[in-house]
Amino acid sequence: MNRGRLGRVGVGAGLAAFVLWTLLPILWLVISSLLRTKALTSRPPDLSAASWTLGNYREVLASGQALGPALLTSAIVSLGTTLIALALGSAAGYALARLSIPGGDRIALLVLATQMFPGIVIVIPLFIVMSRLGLIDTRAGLIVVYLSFVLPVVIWILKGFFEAIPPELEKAAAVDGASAWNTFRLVVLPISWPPLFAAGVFAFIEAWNEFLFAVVLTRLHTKTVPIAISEFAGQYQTKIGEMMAAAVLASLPVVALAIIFRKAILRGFAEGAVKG
Amino acid sequence: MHRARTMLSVPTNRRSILKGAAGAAGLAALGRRAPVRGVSAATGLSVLSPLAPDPAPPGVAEFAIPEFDAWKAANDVDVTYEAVAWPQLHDKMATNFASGTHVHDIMYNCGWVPEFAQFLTPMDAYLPADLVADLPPSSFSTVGWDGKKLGVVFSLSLLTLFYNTEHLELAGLKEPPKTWDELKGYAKELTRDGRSGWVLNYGAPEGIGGVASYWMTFLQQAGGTMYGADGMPVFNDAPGIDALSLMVEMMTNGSTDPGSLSYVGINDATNVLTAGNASMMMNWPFMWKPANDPESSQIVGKLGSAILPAGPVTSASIDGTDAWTIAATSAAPEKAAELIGFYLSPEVQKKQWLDTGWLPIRLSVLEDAEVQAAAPNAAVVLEQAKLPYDSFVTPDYNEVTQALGTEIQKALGGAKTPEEALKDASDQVTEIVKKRLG
Repeated sequence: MNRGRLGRVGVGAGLAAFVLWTLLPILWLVISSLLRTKALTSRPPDLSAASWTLGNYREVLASGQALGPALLTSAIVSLGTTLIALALGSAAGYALARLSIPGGDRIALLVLATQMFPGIVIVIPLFIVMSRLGLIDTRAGLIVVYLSFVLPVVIWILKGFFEAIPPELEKAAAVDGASAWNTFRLVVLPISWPPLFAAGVFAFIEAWNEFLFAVVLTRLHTKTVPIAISEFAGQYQTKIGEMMAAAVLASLPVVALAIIFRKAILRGFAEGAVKG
Repeated sequence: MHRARTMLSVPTNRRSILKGAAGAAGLAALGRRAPVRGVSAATGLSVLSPLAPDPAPPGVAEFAIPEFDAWKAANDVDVTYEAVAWPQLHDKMATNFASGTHVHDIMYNCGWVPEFAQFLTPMDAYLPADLVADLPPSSFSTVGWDGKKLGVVFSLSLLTLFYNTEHLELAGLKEPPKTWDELKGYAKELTRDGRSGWVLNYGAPEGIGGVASYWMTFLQQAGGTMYGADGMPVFNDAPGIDALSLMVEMMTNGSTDPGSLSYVGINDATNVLTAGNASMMMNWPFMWKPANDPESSQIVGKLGSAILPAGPVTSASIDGTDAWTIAATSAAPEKAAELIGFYLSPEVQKKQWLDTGWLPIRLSVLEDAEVQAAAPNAAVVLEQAKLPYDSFVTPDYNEVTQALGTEIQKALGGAKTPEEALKDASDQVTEIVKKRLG
């Protein structure tokens, strides 16, 4: 075996080990969701044929934890957050990247500074504000709050991409009489789908997984998926198998999204890496 | 679980109407109905409760549903439940109280009564004499503050000893341990064949059910107490050190499941016992049912229960304090008290045990033959209740147990001696108490 081939085998083995390392917890999650509680608490876990069951999934779908409504709420909130973040973030990112805004750099830093406050610090003031606005336990309220930490990152991701676009394109549009808005809309956006996808997936996953604000700002009607999953853990008893089954079901939409849009996402990150 | 409506207090003025209109438009665009708003009125009661299988009322847990429906109809009361996972209860309540909005009429409390005392309605005037006479007098010790009854416990939840009868038999041990010396000896003897003699969750320092509260159990067994007459900590003494030394000795000699240091919740430790991987633990009465459920347990029919082994002075326990309280802001405290009275009625209390596994608190129900037959551990809990079971709850209980529990964990992990850990804990708790007492 020559050195080149040996190197490729080494790289392949390394990557395989990395993939296995990454996937093992997910594999164990799926296995746990299919085992009876008694089998899960055995030491070592009892993997005999009698231990396997679909009962955890049946319980989750029929239980009071209401995973179905939570999935719907999470989908609406995450999609809403993503679309608004992309609409506002792309415009803001382009403006900060290309337009001569007085203090533009400071504004960009200020946008990022909002990320520096731990959520727990602002949660009670936020609760009071949302309460006064009548936005507690509403999907709109969650979207507004999620935008506060998703939008700054989206702006920065897209700002970096827009800065890397060759200015000649926009100059050519300007020569043809296009305004800044039309240049952005008709020239820049059509070539920006990959980074928009990448930023959108980031925004969606951030909103989908958020827990702290959802705990505080929801009550009855707008429990999100992470809240629904956490409800399988009580003080005295934890329904481990059902919790795992709920986690598997909750992961499916995000996994499906990643699979469907994987090419666009990869292209987005790759272009961002090269151009940024 | 019953679906329920949101009940919010919302001021109506021009600004709120404009905001409401904007919000409603946004919500309509999102394809979701606007939240139902209302004010806690005479016919509406909102209740904050844990989700089942933690201790929960009829309508959240599946028991006494026909009685609950009949009570609502007879009293013309509409009950709205917000049931959340137990770990979220305290923070949700604290946020509601701190913001002054979205406060429920009735809320579950567990050792937090002194902390939230200023937000709660004294219940002395609302509790019927026959109900009070049927409750263990000591059950009010953890739901009172400044001489007022601010809540009422609905489940007799004291720590007692649980053990695997088969393991004891195999080891030639005829009866459960009655003293600390026997406890240590049994735990060592039972540590064999990959099993541990003792298991508990020492992974969380704070709260009732945290490592600090377990140490308080041993502290009382050694004749010690947390606070002196002036309210200052006095636990850094011989009984305190004896209590911690016992825990440390059982950890370092290998008879405690080493995972105990990382088990955060009682359910983690319970799982070890019900899997047959440990022989003894102290636990709450709820354990009886899941440990005898073949779906989740491998020790069905092999669980024994006894009062906790006595230390140098006595056997003692702590109180889980599963209680109902009424908010000071409730618009209908009388109706709220009536609902709590329904939760504590003998028929509901009886079904609470038979259908959910949570012991009743009413003495007459605890002594009921059907309850006794279905709950062999009820008699043990009643016996334990005759002995000291102070949980030492104060407004700063969480802060105190966080500081104390962290030091206890250091001793259990071998980073400090029991003496060092208790001295450092005492210094920290003194500062916390001084801050409270001003």
